[in-house]
Amino acid sequence: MPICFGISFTKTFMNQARSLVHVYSDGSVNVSTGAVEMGQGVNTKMLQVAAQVFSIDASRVRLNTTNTFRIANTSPSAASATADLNGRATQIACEAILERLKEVALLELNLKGVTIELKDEWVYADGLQTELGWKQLVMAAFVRRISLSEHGHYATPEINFDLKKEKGHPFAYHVYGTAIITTTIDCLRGTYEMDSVKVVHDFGASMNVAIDKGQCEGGIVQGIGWMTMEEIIYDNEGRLRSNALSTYKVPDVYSAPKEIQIEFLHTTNDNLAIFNSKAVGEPPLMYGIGAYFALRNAIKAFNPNANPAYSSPMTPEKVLMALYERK
Amino acid sequence: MKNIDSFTHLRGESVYLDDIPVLRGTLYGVAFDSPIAHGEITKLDVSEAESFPGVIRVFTAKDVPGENQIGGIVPDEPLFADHHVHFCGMPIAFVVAETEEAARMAIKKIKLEIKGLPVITDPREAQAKGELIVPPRKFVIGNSDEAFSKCTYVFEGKADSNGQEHLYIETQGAYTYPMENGGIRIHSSTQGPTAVQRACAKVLGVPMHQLEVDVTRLGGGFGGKEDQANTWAALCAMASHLLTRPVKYSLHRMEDMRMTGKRHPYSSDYKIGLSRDLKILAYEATFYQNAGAAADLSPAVLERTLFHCTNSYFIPNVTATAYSCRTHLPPNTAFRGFGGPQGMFVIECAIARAAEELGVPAIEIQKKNLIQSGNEFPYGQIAVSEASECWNRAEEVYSLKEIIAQIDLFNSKE
Repeated sequence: MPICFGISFTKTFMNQARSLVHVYSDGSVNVSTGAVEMGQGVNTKMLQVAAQVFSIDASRVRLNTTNTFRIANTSPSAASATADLNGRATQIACEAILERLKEVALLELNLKGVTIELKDEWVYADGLQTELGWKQLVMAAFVRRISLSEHGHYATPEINFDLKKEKGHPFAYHVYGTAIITTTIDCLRGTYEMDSVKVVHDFGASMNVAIDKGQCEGGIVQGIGWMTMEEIIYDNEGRLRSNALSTYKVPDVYSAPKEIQIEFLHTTNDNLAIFNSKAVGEPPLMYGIGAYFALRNAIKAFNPNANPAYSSPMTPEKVLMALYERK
Repeated sequence: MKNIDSFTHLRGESVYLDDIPVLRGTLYGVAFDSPIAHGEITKLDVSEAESFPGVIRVFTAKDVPGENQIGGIVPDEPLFADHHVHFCGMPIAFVVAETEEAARMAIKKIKLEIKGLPVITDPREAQAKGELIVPPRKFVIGNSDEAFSKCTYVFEGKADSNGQEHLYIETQGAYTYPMENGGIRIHSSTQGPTAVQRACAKVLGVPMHQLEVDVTRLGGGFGGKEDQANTWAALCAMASHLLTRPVKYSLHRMEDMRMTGKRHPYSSDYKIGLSRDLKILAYEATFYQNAGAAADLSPAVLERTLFHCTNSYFIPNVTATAYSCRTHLPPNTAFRGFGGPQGMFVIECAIARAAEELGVPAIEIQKKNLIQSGNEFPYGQIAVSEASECWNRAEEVYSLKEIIAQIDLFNSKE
């Protein structure tokens, strides 16, 4: 099952974000963005951005709540683009502070015309470590009345879409991948197990392998649930009949695939993702579509006459009927 | 790097909406929702509920200080049903009491009479009756009509995909309290703090700068809290605004499942044309999206179905049409993939169908048609593709041939 998913809000104007970064006089850092943490790990990625740009230990950075008095006019955390948009805004804010700090370092070190870098909490001049550390540098900037705060704004470049022609370049980039899904059906009962899901997924250059892998695994299971066991039922009067966890079944640990393997396709093509680490929220869900067709193939292997309607979810009831369908 | 929340998650110390310590004097709200999918309200009497012990107020449409409207893309979604109900689960009243128990008991004292009207649940029926949320959209590349006449194989069919419940572990909810000078602080389990701020400002009739929306984290969202967190925040904020008291509403699971929209079910028609060597030359698809009773995010979801209707394949001639159909289900909404999976399911059905009819494995057709860098998507963007790289790598690292051989062996046994 191959997938391809475009990253960006398709409403171009929504592809903007802001981040507010404060460096306190003791060298600790506080970051607020428009990103909402909902288990996807976006705050961890935001923290990584700040720590990486400043080249400081992650423990110095704290992520703040998402608040409309600190960050205004936010786009929702959606479209898989939250880390890209808010990460870029955070990067812009941190880089602006960093530039000011570098100028302070030149003054503090009495140097001119050398390249200042920050590496692992130390100031380097032309590649050589100096005696100036992160904390001293920040305090020096504060004493010199240099702003240690910045509000970064990012708007995705290049994207556009012409609604009249229904043509354009709506996506910053696409995410690709392929999954191989195997399943075994109990041909007496119509129940089934997902034996394995083996994926090669295009992460670009993942900035957090554990989180990205978690997003993939969760997406796959949720996608399989949609295609197989989760069955929403409204009656003809528009009343929801599958209105509780007793009547609406989502995959639990027993019905999740017995094995999920994720191979990272590491690509170096320049893209608009944060640090080239491609968006990962939504795309893996679509591997789940493959589960539907794996079941269909298994049914036909047992009963070549079966031709169930192309209608998802492929519940065990539908599987059972198809297993014994006659032409 | 580990997820920074891993320690507090594991120890049960992470703060969600329900973990926020409540202020003294906090009131509890519960929504009273329509038991009928479509009808005209002929009688609504909340007086008995209002005099129930512990109940402070019962709010209905007539109490809204600003606009009774929370529609995001299209202003077609009242916060409270006013005269008409359009889906089962549509809020009609909001009972606010000293305790949650009192509010839940009082709800049963509300007297409601509804004159039922015809109910539509099927998107094709809605489309046939002209019940569309927005005008249809159409993406075209090449000329599919002409191309079909040159195809060796042409197959047509129908493909349906059902909805999906978000089932975030943390249900929807909000906790609001008045600040000085008419301000309100809103804790909301929302993916869109600004959407909540905007919707509440409209309902309260106050400028956005009065409303501070604060979100620590959600116990899952999956799209279900992109637009649909607005309702609960607006109900609580309105009660806080009018009563100058803190108000909290955290939905029970069954309320949440009943009152909120889900992934859009789609019913679709496809037509696929292939050359003798299994290149897909032409594809047509018509999508009937079951939007539910209001627009919510349906127009944007519809658009993404069209964007992803050819999945990972290059097809030179495509005509894809999509209808957003108004039915009497709770307004369906964003869900991880946002219409994309629904579009992709249909092309995969078309390929599976062609493969079955021609007696070739679907993977042969899939692999042969993967989009390459430089190919054009039906919407004009030029691909920078990793499709074949992923596919070939998967074949290699997972030994696809061996997997298939093992499956064939298993299936050949008695």
